[in-house]
Amino acid sequence: VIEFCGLELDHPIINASGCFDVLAARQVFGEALLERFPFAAYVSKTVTLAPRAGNPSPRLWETAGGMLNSIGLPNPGIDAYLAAHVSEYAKLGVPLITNVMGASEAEFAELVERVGEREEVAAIELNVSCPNVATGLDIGADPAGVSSLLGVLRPLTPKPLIVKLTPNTADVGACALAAEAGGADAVSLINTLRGMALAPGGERPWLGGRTGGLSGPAIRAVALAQVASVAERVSIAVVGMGGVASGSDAAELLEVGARLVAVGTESFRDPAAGARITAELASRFAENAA
Amino acid sequence: MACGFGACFGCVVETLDGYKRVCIDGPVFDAAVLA
Repeated sequence: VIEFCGLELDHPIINASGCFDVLAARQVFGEALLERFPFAAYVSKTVTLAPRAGNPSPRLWETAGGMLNSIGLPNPGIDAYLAAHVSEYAKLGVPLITNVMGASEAEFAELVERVGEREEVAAIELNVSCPNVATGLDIGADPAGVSSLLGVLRPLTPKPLIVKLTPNTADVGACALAAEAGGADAVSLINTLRGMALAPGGERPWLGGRTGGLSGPAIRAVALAQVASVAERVSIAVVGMGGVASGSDAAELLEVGARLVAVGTESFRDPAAGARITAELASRFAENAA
Repeated sequence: MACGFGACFGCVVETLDGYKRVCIDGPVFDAAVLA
């Protein structure tokens, strides 16, 4: 049993936000995939105040060892999420972590207050990789932004707050320290790295959103370095992620100080990746204990 | 295509009723609904 933000989790493997859609998986694979839910907690896709359609196509580009995505966080908005999705996710039998994103501190505040009222929600993850509409800068790209946001949000809910740090910053450790000082219960990293691809012919960006987020095994070395750096500097729990595709990948993030490990892009390639990686990790622990 | 089972929302096409996923809402669409 793993203690995380006051929650007791069966094992250290969870899903990365946006990378495991319970409703889609059930529609395609039936109840069997979900009967023994593979993750120790379920992290929702990012929810915003208003519904979002997402970015124009094309949304994906395959890279060496990974992919770029410019999905654009399509979601039904907070009203529909609370009315229809929360009760479905609560049936999974694991703690629900709701991921929210605002384009301003006021939007974040409304989201945290409304999500915080729901007893089905065990913790709230803050996606701060979003441009602030007032400044154009990513809210979580510097320690002052993280600090200011936590100053607004921390008094609004007793639920655990997890700050999903952006790797697109000069000093991720300083942002993690700002989250800790602001009262965050945990930090999670890494989010995708900003990247770009040109369309065949090389005349224009391929992705409809122009740039996208790089994920997959290509970013695992960056994840390991950033998680190690953050874990050395904060005493709150760290959720490590970035290119994890096997139990040994997960073990490395745990080794450098992560409390939990999230599986992201690998679940697109293999929808049963969560269960496989959890089993691989458990057998490593069993071997080491023997 | 990243996943092929409706989870990633990478394969959408624009229809009169918003973006639809080719993998599970298609792959065949009535041409009249495509935007």
